[in-house]
Amino acid sequence: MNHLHKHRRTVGALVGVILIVFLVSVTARERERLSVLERMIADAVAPLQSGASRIATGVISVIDTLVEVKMLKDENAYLHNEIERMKQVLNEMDELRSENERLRELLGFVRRSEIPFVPAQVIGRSPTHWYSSIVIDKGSNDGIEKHMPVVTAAGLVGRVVRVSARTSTVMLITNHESSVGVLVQPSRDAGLVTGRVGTGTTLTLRLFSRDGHVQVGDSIVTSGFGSFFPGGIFVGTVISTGMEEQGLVISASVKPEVNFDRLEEVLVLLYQADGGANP
Amino acid sequence: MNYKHLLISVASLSGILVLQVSVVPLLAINRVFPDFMYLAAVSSSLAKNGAWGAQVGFIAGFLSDLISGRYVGVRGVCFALGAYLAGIITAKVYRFHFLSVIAVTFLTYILVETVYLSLIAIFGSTINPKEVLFSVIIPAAAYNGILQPAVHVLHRRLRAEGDLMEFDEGQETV
Repeated sequence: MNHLHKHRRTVGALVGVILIVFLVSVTARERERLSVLERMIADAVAPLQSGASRIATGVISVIDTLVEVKMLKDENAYLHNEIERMKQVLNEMDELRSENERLRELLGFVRRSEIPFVPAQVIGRSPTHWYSSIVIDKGSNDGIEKHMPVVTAAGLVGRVVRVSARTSTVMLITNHESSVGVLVQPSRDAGLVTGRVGTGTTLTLRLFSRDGHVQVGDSIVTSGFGSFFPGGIFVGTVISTGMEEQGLVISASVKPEVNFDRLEEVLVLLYQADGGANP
Repeated sequence: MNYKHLLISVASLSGILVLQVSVVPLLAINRVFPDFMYLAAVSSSLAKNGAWGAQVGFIAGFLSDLISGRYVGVRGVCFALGAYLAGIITAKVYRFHFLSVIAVTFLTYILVETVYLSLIAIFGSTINPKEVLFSVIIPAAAYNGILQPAVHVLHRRLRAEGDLMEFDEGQETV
C-alpha cells in the first residue's frame, strides 16, 4: 500500500494513458450510439449554440446586406435582361421537364418530393478543421435517425452521423471520410464522390469503369445504388477531369452548388437506404 | 488544480466551446478559422505556468473531442502538450512581449496539429499532415498567433477582475 502511495503519480499517469488509449480506440470509428456523456453535452449546449448561432448569423447578415446594397443597382439592370432571356428558357424547360420525368421513372430514381423531410436550422459547426460537419437543431425526438440524408435546394449536403434527443451532427460531403455513390448524368457512368482534407470545397469523383465518360460541365447526381442516399439528388458540376493511378482511374473535380460555409437551413430526408422512406 | 478551479475552468471553457462551434467558423478566412479553445489554454499557460496551462489545455482539448465525437482524448493530450510548451518557452524568454506571445502560439499550434494528425493516423485516420501543412495548419497557426495577444490581454483583465478565474495568491506568478 505504501509502495502504491509512493508511486501514486506514476500509477495515476499510467491509468490516465490507458484510459485515453481506450477512449480513442472506442471513438476512432463511426459509432452507432453516442455515450451518455456525449448525449448530455450535445443536448445541454444545443440552446446556447442555437442562440449564439442566431446572433452571429444576424450580425453577419446585416454586414452582408450593407455590402450587397452597392451591387444591387448593377444587378437590377442585369436582371431585367435576364427576365427576357428566362422567358425563352422557361418554354424550353417545360419540354425538358416532361422528358426528365419520363427518364426518371425509367431509371427508377426516387423523386425527392415523395420523401418526407424535416426542416432544420444549423446551430453549430465542427470545432476543428479536420471534420467537416454541422450540428442541426433536430434530433431523435423529431424522427431523425443515423445515416439519413441531408439536402438543401442547391443539392446534397451530407448525412446524419450522430443523433441526440434534440440535435444531430451531419457529416458534410466535403468531409474527407465521406463517400457518395453517384452517376454522371449524361453518360450514366457510375462512380464515387469523396471529400477532401483542407480548405477547398471541391469534391473528387472517381469512375468505376475505365471506359466511362465524364467531361467539364456534366452534372453529378446520387446513384441510389446501395448507398445512404436516394437516387437523383444533385451533388455538383464537373469543373475538371483527369486520370489517376497511372492512367487506370478516370477522375474529376466536382464543385457543389451548396455553400457549405453559409448553411443556415437544411432538410433532413426521412429516408433509410434499406427501408426507403420513413414517414 | 482543486475542484473549484476545475469547475471554473470547465465552465469557462464550455462557454468558449459554444462560441467556437457557433460563431468562430463564421470568422473563417478562406475556410481557416482560429481555435479559441487552444488560445484559452495557451493564455492560461502564459498567465500562470506550463503545468497549469497543460491542465487547462487537456480540458479544452477533451471538450473539443467530445463535441467532434472522434478520437476522444487525443486533442486533450495535444493541447496539454502545446500549452505546457508555451508556458515553458515564454518563461525562458521575455514573457509579455506580444511578439513572443505570437511566435510561441504560432509554433506550438503547428506542433499540436502535426502531433494530433500523427496520433490519429495510428488509429486509422487518412489525413496526411504534409498535405495540409501549408493549406490549413500554418494559416490557422498564423490566425491563432495574431489573436493570442488580444485573448491574453482579455484573459488577464478578466482574471484581475476575478470574473473568469480565481487563483491562490501563493501560486500567482503574474
